[in-house]
Amino acid sequence: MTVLVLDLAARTRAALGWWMLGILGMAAYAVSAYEWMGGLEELSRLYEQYPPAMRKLFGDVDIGTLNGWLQVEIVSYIPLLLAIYAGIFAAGSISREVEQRTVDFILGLPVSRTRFILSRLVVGLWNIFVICLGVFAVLVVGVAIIGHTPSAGNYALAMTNAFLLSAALLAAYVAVAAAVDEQARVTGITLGLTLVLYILTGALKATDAPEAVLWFMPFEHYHSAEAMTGGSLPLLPLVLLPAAALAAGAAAVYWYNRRDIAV
Amino acid sequence: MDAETAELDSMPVPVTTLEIDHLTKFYGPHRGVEDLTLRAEAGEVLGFLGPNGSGKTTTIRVLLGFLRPTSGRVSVLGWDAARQSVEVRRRVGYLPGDVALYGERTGEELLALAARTRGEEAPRAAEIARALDAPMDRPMKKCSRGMRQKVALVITLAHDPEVLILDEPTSGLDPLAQRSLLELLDQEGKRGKTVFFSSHVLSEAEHICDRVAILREGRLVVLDKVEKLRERKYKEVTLVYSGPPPNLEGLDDVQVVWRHDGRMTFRMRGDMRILMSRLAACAVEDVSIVEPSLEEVFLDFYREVAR
Repeated sequence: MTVLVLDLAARTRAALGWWMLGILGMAAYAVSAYEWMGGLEELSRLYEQYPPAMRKLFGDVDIGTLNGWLQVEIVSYIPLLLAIYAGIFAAGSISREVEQRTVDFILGLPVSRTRFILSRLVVGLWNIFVICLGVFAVLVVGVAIIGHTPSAGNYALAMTNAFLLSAALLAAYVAVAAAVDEQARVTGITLGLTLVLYILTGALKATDAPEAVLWFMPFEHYHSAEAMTGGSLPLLPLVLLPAAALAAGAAAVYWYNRRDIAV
Repeated sequence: MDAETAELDSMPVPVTTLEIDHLTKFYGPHRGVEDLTLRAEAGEVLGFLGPNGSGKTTTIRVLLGFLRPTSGRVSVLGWDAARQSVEVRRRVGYLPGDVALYGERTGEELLALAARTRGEEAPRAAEIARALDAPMDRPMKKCSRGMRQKVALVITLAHDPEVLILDEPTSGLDPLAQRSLLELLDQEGKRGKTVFFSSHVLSEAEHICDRVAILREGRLVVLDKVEKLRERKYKEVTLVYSGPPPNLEGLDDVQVVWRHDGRMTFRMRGDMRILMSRLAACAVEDVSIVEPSLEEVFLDFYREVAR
């Protein structure tokens, strides 16, 4: 599988580079903007006037503090960006291979379908990990540059949670790509699903929906506000998200092994 | 042990390398291939012929494990193609129809990727790249279809596989490259490899195949040696003679096409020796016997089945 992993990693390196540039650029901007803004007290007062639902979406933090600011401006929606990346990656590395018929070249070699799907998952996970690591590094270095003491532990917890959530979504999107051959359709399905789930999570929070309903919303299991301001994470996402990733990954392998590959 | 027994003992025992047993594949309600049974042996070049949509590619994709058979069993070198397809692909050189390769990669890089995946060297890569004049150092996105086909052929043949399964291998190649490839495949057969290739260009099969299988609407119409197929077809005989015309009465299946002024053309099949003995009895100045092309045989099969 190493050969497939290295090959795909090399082929996705350029795209990953552009994603990194965008996301890390946003993180760097968020850090530096804290210095430029100056009137954070004013901003805090304005933030207090936000509807409670919107504040809940950002984690109900104090935007006047550095970590609260970073939570609202960048950390809270890192999983949204990573989920979009995961959908595009899954469509590009699995469905596109069938659509462009390059799957005939790869699966014409002694490569099992399980290895093929797992190699895509491994590279996707690695790429997401690299982005999370990059955001962590930008936060630590950026905060130090603007003259504050970085809360590296808090950032690490938030990025760990972001990675686990994105890993579960990546595995689910790989399962979609394992079942649907058209790249555009998989991209559409996964992006649509991501946005619907993200917006629905906010809407359900705003309407104080029952916990049981929120439990099924993936973005509900992202606790960056607690990580950024309290330096802790609940145990549930640390168990639930890897389990969900494993289950979705197993489903992807199962489907891909059962289906016909007719290009 | 008598001489005949000794001769039989010294003959090589045919080794079945590729076995398709009552294969049926349906795509939902649509037929791919139905109740197909055939075998290929080591050292055999088997042409798999049929028009578009006749089930050639479906059969090949089942052989490689891309498609699951609806019923029937397919094996290559004893490995079950549905359940042990990785083992099949380890031992086979497969060329897909309408080749697609990663555009940013060069032929060398793709060859290295294939070799690393197989975990073995590509001992014949240089020789085959030279024979086909394949552009191994160019990114695929900068190659024409024919160039990509050559690179794919190098990758297919480079590890010296026991069995070659090729889906329309000459498609996209210029005539010179087509000839080089057919010579190469002919040599592979002589080296004891099984070459199973699909085509709808009949002259290709005619030159290098030991046997051909003809498919129509998913069903095997015929599987036989090329010579045997030709024997089933009328030969066209043209005579130039002086004096009375030769007596053709009593010969099987003779159809006179035209006769005029000391020339006669007729079609016949059956024993040519009887014809020759008849011709010896008259003043024949010239005779030409034209064998039917495989294309004519093929078209005849289609007409017969359609009727």
